[in-house]
Amino acid sequence: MPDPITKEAFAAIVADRGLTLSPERFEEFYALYPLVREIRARLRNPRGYDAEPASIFSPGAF
Amino acid sequence: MTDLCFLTIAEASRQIAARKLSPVELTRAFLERIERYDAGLNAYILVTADKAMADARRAEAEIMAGRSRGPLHGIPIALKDIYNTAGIATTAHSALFKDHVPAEDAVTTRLLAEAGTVLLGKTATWEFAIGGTSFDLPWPPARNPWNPKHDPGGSSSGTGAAVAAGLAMAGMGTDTGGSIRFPAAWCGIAGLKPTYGLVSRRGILPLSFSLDHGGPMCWTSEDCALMMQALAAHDPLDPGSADVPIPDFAAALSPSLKGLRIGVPRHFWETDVDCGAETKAAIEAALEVYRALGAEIVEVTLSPLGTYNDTGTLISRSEAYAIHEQYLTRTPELYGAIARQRISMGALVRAPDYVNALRLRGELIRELAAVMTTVDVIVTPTTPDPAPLLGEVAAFMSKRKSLFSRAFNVTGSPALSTPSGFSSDGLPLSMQIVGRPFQDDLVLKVGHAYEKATAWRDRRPVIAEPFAAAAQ
Amino acid sequence: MADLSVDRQLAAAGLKLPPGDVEKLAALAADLAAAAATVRRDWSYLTEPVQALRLWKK
Repeated sequence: MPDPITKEAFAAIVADRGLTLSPERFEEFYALYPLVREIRARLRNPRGYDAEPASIFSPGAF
Repeated sequence: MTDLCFLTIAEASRQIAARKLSPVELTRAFLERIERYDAGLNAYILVTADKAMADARRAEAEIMAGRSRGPLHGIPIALKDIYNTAGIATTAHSALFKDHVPAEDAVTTRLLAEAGTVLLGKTATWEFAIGGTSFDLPWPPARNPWNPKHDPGGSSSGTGAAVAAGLAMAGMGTDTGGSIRFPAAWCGIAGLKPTYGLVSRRGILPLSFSLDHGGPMCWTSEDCALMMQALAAHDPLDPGSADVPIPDFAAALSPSLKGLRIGVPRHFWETDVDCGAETKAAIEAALEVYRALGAEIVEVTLSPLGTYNDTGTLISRSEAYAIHEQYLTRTPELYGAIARQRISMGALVRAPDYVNALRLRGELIRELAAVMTTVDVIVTPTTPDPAPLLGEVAAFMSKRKSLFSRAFNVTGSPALSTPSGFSSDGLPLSMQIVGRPFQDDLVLKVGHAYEKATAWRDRRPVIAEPFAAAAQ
Repeated sequence: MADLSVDRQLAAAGLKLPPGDVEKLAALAADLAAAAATVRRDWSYLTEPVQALRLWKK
């Protein structure tokens, strides 16, 4: 579980992403952000360097 | 002995088939030459001398028994050290993978072995095919055989240096933004980035899944064609592999280009990039050669080169970071500084920018496809200038000094680099020939015709001996 | 758009890099920002990314 993020740090991320949030919406997002971080942490399981992504580039298809 | 090492695959294979040349004798000549010269070139990370001699003896016995496997039988080759080799270290030129010994060959390693090649060893690379030219790795960087004080280009630097110096008859590189064509250009050899999907990527350490290509680096385009015959094959376990008919690459070669239409996006090197005068003059001279061979030169316009480069950069950094994140967050000290910094850039790319780069990539592919309904191939320089001093490549390259190669990783097109002359300092100049998807045979034909019409392939680097100390 | 400093972005990504790297990446970040500007367009919602999920094999 990642360390909790401070409101100040979260505000910096929100600003960096170009979002302008009302105070209420900011609180909502702040409350939900730990879930995003948990999902991201779960995705960071070790995997082999040959584990390909599911979406495939196919030049002939274009 | 040196003469043997400067044969092309086409020449050597004819002599081997006629039993005038022994694969054992040929392999011994290469191993002796590596022993004599590689200390000053650093082309190899590992020389597999015992395996090479065993491969050569097997090839010789099979050929003598009338069981020829084709034109690569008994041909000594080298593999960039990101091609997995079963039981043989595959280090990516990195402390992180210093003890990495794969259990299985890469598909391409296996196909070349099945074609009867002799493995001389594993060659130097920019760390993980991205971090170079670096001096903080467990092995030194390769040097340019035309002048060891100069850079060989990268990332397939060791293969480029080895083939140019006569330390391998051919070799394999990989290319995510130009890493076959760039060292081919600065080392004065031919290097083909095949169409994405034509050559299996399975078992090659990835840098960027959707931009990585494996391909041959040889003295001539004809030799690249002979290598491609063994390499091009559908691999159902590589999700990017294409199930397409495989042409007879060598049969497609012919010196006549009558009726061929060559597209020239002159804005790439006249306005988009600061291209050196000698490179520009060499391209114009090459186009004259093509006119004389019967081709028609057609001006074409594409998006600015920077648009292709931006798209490629966002994709390659994102995909590279996804692969390396687990190692970078835990043991960043095991990377050299350049690889660590370049890959870490991926941590700064936002998800929507990556996805939008993939949308723009679609537009650029369609743009090129539309232009290529009016022309058969596109010709550009490969690099804006010949090789700078060793270690100056990062400072030398910039937005205004970009390679011309990355655009065609973005589009997945087949793209060949072949020498187009020499600078006043005696360093190779080069051009790039780009084709429609899966028309790799035509690209090789266009390169071959130029090589036959000019004398550049007759000149080999003269390597002083010993020069290692003087080159420091 | 406000910029989240490069060192904070790297920290958020879990990267602990030497100071020299952070300095270098701060310089490289300008290149990335320029590249990102190239791909930030008013895309049609119909424009697909070039990579597609392919569940079939020929």
